[in-house]
Amino acid sequence: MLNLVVVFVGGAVGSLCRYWFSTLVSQRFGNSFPYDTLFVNLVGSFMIGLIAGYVMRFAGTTWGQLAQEFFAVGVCGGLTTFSSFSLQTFDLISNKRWVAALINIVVSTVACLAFVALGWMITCR
Amino acid sequence: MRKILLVALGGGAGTLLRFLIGEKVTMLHQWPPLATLVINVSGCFLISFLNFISKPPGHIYIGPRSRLLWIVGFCGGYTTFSTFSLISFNAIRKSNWSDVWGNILLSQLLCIGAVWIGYTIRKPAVFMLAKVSDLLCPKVSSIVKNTDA
Repeated sequence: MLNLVVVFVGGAVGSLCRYWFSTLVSQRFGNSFPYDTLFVNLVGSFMIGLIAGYVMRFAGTTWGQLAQEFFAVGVCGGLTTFSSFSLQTFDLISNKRWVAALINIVVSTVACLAFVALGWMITCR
Repeated sequence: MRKILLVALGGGAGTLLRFLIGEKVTMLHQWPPLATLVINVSGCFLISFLNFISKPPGHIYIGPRSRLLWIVGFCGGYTTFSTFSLISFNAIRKSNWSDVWGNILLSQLLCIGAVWIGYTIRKPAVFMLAKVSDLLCPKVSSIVKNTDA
């Protein structure tokens, strides 16, 4: 039961951060390219990498489990989004902006993966 | 203030559903990317469906507050990019290249496909919803406007 509450609260916090960040980023950089979603996905991927590296030390303990559920499942999961990413890519495709769509897919996938690796390397040692 | 509550509520509910579905799928099948794949594909379908039925020529009205609750909050909280990236990273660490490519390619293709399906069925879906609402409550069915009926 406690883990459900923890996941809910984490998800609410993460989603709120996504809402704020994406509003700020699209005000700053405009809507010609989905910078907002790219930004929150990068931040969330970096965070989940940090957590994955750090929580390994507490693997198996109740606290490790709860921390993982709050930060990784809740906050990072709520902060990042695949649905807006795909919808925005589809919008680019239907506006025949093929290169922008491809850049969005490749950059999101590769950079987020790199950011997970970066976060993991910082905390795992 | 109201906006904040709507996003938080939708995001919390979506995240909770992701957690529960994730546990169920993991119990049923052990392939690590599967749970997140199922969640992201279904979430992409939902966001696309909600987005396109509320746009012309769909014309089912989804107001700014419902958008915050369902599209920004629920769909955004339900789907995840961070776990998707973490799964790819873990597969890379284990040098399990078929999982890396399987996860990335399946996620990207199926999620775009799910958005496309939501886009394609928007007209018949609005038509059906109009019929159902006519049948169930003729008085309220004016909320569904301008269908191609």
